[in-house]
Amino acid sequence: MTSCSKNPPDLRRARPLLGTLVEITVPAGPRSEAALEHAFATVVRVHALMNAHDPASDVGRIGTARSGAVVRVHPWTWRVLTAARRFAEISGGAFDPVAVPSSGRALWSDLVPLPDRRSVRCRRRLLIDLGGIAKGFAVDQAVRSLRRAGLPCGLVNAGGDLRSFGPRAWPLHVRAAAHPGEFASLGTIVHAAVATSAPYFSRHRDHGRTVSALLDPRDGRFVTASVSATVFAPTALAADALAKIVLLVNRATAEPILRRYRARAWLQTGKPLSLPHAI
Amino acid sequence: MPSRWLLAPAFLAASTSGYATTYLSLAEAQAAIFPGAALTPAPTVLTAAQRTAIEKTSGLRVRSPELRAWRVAGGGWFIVDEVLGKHEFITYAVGLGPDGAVRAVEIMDYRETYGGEVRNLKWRTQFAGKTSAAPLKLDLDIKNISGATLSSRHITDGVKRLLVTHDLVLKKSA
Repeated sequence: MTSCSKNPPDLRRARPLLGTLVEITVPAGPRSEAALEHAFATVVRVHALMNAHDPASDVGRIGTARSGAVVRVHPWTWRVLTAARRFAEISGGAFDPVAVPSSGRALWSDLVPLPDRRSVRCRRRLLIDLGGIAKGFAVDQAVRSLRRAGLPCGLVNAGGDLRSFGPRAWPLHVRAAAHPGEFASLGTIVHAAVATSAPYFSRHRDHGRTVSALLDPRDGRFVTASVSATVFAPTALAADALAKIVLLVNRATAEPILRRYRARAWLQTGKPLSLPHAI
Repeated sequence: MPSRWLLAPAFLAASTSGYATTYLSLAEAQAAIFPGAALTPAPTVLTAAQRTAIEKTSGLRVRSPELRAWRVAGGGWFIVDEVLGKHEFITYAVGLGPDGAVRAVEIMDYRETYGGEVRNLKWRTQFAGKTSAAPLKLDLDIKNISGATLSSRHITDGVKRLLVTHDLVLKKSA
């Protein structure tokens, strides 16, 4: 039986997937290697389905579909699209996988998941970007795979979107928004998912202006300040999407959304030392 | 009920001269990608002409002429390579099957470099009633970082460069 303690040492691997580094940590044991392989295979599968750069992926095929077309997708893609649509709706479009700069006037409401759970209708020509939610989904699926393999605990971290399972307490660190090479401890997490959104790695100059990977779909403006939002939620999918929403909407809008998903947010505002508004 | 919106006090500097993780030693990486297979060292130094050819075909810079390669019994290659990002230095291993296709990519070492300054560990944070005052032993204790996604583009480019290197150099040496 694989023990959840740190003795023997953990098995820890990292591979380049989903456009980032995906790290899986599990306690060493007779079934651990095979379980780890299977969990990585699950992430590879999500990557293949939702990779926007692959015209043959589900996301790629939606991008080339004609206006009005019904596109058949994998049930996983359907679930992510359905969840993404719900986040778009409740956030008033602050999270929108459809409103990418190259998608014209199309919005989240132009992509309609159909009741068969295997297809979607595109009401316009549109491009989608599941970058803000697919990593979280992949983490959830990898955790599911590890649990089904019988491992008592483990942690999956897809480039900063992470989730742990089992009774072990895992130390958690976040990067300082203004100095991403510095870290702060947020204590430990037990059986929880966490995701952070911040522009520090994607911020750069482009044609004389500062841009980042964090775009407000409502006004096309980029988040470029030294801020970050960390969200704790029951699933990595929710944490991933909510971290973007929290960064873009005001507190009054965010509070009920967080409550609905049983999530909490932790912000770095980039301003000089200020005491927390509320704990 | 506690608020769901926590504003952090600004960081008073957690510290660091660098965060690093070792995932696999050389022997572990070899066993992970080619379990049970015999690997023969085949270190290769690329000629200037080969470097130019690889750069031209891949569109990527060849930083070092030295190729840390192993021949796999029954066909295939095991290669250890390094890539440099803006702040990260990554050592990784690539396994190529007998057909030259990528069989696996494993990160061996990950290191971050941010100028090397060390600051006081005096930051404080309040989160759900927890405070952490214990100084962190960096490089050891920092794990499980929740942060913005770091791109893996440099590794993807590195693998592309190695595939071209295999095509133009290793395949012909077999």
